[in-house]
Amino acid sequence: MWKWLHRLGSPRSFFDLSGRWLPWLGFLAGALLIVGAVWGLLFAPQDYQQGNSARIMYVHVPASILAQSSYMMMASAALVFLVWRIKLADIAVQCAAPIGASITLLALVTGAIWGKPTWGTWWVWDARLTSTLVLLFLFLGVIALRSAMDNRDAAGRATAVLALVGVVNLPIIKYSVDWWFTLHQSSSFSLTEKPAMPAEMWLPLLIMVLGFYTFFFVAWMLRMRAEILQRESRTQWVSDLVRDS
Amino acid sequence: MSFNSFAEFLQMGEHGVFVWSCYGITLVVLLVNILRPLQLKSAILRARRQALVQENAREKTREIKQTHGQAHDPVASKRQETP
Repeated sequence: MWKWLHRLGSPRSFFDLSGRWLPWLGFLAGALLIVGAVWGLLFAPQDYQQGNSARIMYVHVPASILAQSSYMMMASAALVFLVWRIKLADIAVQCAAPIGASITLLALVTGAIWGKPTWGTWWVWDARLTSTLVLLFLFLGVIALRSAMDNRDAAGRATAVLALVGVVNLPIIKYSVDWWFTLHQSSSFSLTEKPAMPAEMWLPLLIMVLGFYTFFFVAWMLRMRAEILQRESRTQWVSDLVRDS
Repeated sequence: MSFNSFAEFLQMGEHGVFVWSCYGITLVVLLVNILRPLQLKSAILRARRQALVQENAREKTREIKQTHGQAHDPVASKRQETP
């Protein structure tokens, strides 16, 4: 187990292994997203209060969940890098940030578009929306901090520390709907409780959540592979790879 | 199925604009996240291939110079004349 983990920690074996996993993961992500979207758009019943605008839920909720989880995953990689100095973890932090930022932006934009017909406004400065906006700025901060520093080791350490400090925002997002009086409804979907909606609605939602997670791993691996090639471009194995292709 | 016709499906009650713009934006964000790294990867490989080709060419000319001796290189012989 340790040997295997250690092997996975080297950029080159990660490149080889991820190359083997990607076709399967990519297929799984595509299938889940297509099935979930078609189910949510065509077959799920409409909401008795919101009508068809509730179908936005099938992209907004998975995007919001993934936005927070992707930050958590990025911060975990940052911790691994700070403690064990594993190069691959630094690459993981660097590559998770742009994907996480785009998914957080997606959650905010779809939320605004859903808010207009439901609340009558695109945006309110309420706790959940504001803390999610802060999450977007944390992702952007990690990206900006890295690009501002020339020394890769120092940049890696600084972004890892920033990513870890930003974790305090996650419980604020999660409990914002309970701690403060807000427009945003409280969570009606969790792993541990029975969902407060019929199966025809939460099943496609669950499929979309799984699809978004799988998509994230695919996008993450793709970015990491490109970054590994960039960092190791002067090594023999990359030269061999170039000659073979 | 929740809709009786395709037109009804597109309209989504009065919420067609909202629902379809959300799904459209989602599709764009997901696609960019897949296509961008693939584009980066091929750009890196292309740059590396060019560098390797140049390196090989440089090595070849060096070999030719060595086998034919320095005297045939006009620049090198001139350089030797000037102290």
